[in-house]
Amino acid sequence: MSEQPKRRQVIDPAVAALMRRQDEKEAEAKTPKAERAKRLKERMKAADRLPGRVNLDLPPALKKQVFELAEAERIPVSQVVAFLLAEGIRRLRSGELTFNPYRRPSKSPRYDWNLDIDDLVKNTDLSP
Amino acid sequence: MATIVTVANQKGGVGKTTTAVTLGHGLARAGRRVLIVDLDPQGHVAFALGLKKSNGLYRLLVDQETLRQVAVNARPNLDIVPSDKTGEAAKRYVTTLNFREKVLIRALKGAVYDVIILDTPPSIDVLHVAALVASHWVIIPTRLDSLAIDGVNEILRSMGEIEQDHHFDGYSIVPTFYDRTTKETATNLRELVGVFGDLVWAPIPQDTKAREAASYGQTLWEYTPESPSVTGYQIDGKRVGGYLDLLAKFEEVII
Repeated sequence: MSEQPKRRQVIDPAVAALMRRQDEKEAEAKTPKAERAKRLKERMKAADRLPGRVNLDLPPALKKQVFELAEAERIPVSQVVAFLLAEGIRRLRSGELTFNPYRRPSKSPRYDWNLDIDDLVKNTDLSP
Repeated sequence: MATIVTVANQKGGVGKTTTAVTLGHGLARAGRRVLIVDLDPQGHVAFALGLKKSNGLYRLLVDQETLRQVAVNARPNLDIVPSDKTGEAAKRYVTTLNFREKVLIRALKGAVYDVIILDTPPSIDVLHVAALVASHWVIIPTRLDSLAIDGVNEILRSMGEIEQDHHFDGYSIVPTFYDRTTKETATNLRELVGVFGDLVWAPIPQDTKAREAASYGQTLWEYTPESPSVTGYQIDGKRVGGYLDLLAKFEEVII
């Protein structure tokens, strides 16, 4: 049986995301004032509750290790990450730790360097 | 062989030079050898890069000096052919030539660059046509207002006429000065996407800092690398639009 043809993406995904956001805003603008105020209050409350929430990209192997470690130690994963970050920064500042072996020139005009995290994960024994 | 890209829209003030300079310097910083040719007698490419306007374009086209003689180094990996008011005289001279639409193809032949960006003036004239004829790709910056969008139609009409003898690899429409707080912007973006689909690339946000950069003779990468015009908007945890996005798209699609 022949494969079903895939529908072509006719809008640049970034443009589609912007237009979707615009639609959401417009829909929100049409809701009654009291409803809008309630939603805004809820959003502000949520932001206050989670001022430290971040979205970051980690290599999947590293992410797995962090979750396994947290599970094994019976500690919340956010606290494990916070501990390792704080300890990492302390060691970096004291000179015990350096980015240098993993620095690679970046092609992005925004950054001078990338860190070869895959290489770090590959060459570091993270097994318990 | 260099990839030649023309930045064009006959409407003025849509961000052609800022787009040409920001893309050019961004590519240069990523290790590409880049040349920007300023076809506009206003000479704003040199100005935006903190250099003096000069008659490089005139010397290239009228005195027939070589690219090597007229190119000025602006940044590592980035050269420009500057222009000034003598660009007008160059244009008048070119009008008298036979095969004038090929004048830039001849002038840029054998250039040792990875990317050549042709920054055009806000008009449709002989150099504008010559730029289109020389180019592989056309980037059309446009504000999201009806006058500027009409400029998009005009440039596409010119490309259509030229296409009888010349093949473009493609073109992209880049909305500039994008202000997501106004309904007019959203409506015009929707209309543009409705007609041109994925030829419309992610917009460059409106940004006061971007306007200041030229006053300091610095590019956006130097003056304000963290501003919205460079980094775009945060949507669903991802950055969308801005020159960083444009640069990535340029590398992915055009080069």
